[in-house]
Amino acid sequence: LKLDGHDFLKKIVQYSVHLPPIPTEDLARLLDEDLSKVIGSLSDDDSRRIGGTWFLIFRHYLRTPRDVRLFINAVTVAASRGFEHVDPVDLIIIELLRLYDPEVYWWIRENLSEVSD
Amino acid sequence: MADDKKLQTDLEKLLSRAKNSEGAKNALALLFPKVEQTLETYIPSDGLETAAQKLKRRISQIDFAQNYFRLDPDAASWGRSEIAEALKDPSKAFELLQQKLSHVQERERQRLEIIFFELLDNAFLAGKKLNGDWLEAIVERSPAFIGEDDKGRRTSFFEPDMQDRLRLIVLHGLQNVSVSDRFYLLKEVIKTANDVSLICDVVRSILSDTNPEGAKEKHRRIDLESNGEEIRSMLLIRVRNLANSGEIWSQVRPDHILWFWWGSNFADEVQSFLAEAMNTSTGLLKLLEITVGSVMSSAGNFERVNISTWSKIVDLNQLALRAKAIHVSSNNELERQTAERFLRALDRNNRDYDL
Repeated sequence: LKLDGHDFLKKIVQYSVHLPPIPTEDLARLLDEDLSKVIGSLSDDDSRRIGGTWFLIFRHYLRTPRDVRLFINAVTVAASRGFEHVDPVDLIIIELLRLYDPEVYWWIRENLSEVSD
Repeated sequence: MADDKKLQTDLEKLLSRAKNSEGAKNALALLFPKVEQTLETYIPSDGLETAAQKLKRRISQIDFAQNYFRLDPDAASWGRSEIAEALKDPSKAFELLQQKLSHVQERERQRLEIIFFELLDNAFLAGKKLNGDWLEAIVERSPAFIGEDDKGRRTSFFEPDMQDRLRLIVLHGLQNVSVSDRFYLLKEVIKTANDVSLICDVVRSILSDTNPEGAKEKHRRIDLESNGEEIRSMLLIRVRNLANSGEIWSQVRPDHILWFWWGSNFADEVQSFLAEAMNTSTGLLKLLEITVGSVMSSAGNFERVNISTWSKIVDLNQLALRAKAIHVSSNNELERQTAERFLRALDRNNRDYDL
């Protein structure tokens, strides 16, 4: 078949409605709720650190509720190993890069000795 | 400097290819202070010192960075709850350390040991108080850990040796206790320690030397007030007893003990003790060993005898003559090797590194 999927759908759905954009505050709230369930309670220091990451990092990658859900699924798997040997906030940021900026993630893996102390 | 420039170029290239360069830049800067400095992002830092970053197992700490990419925990590392539990009780802590050391490969032993001592040091830096049990445990076990350095395992210019590491741990722990507790802790450990090498270094750091040619710098945050000289006198009694009985030569660092003795302004006593020691087989061989020091150099490591330092307490010409005699006439291979090593180090000093 030499058909474009979108053209085909137009024959079935003849009136499309664009969903209203989700306010970033709502996405942040969704992420906050989901993360709390996965990683449990954080120390005051860690809560402060993660508080600043929405504006600096997460809002650049998580633009839809689906992005948030995908990310939370990844964090759930990573967190299942526990936080005995890692810092929870650092792990969350690394998971975000693995999922949404893989080239940066792989660069970190391969250049740990260059950027670590 | 060249490395910084290369890192900056690499990061700029990476960020130009990132899906979201702003987000990636901020993430890298938050994870790694080195990236934050290189890219000058001016992202507010969490202000954590390296010590605290280690306690939190941050990815920026090389000892823990690999944990973020592993499927199973690193056997040569310490989990948060594991170390927290261990730090409650010194005997448990050292028992666990030995247990863990026995389960890792030889090349990972040093790293595991160093991480343990760094975490212990961090706990003291964070305010943990040193008590008698901890001080006794550290001093008691110090010869074994310090002795490992004699096997030549130190590989970095900037890494402190084990004796220095343990000295700093004790000093950091002493910072958190009152002057009277400090006095009591030191008094007790001087009485009971089998090996006083570490204690000599600790006391020397706190009180500095009274010998005008010795070290002047006192530890600024640890004071023993009027009790300082009493501690020195008690330790000197132990040192003299060890010297009289010959046990000083079985201490892990006889040289550090001798320098404490000399630093307490008894140079003449040390000189006459060493002049006599040269007449005994054990004393002579130990002198040939302890006067040889390692020099780490980018052109290759080598050994030398620091003439300007050692000649303050020992007659190096006499020692060289004795060494030549052993080298020529001893039937014992080990003794001949010790003498040869000393003579080579003395000669190297004369040729390359005359101070």
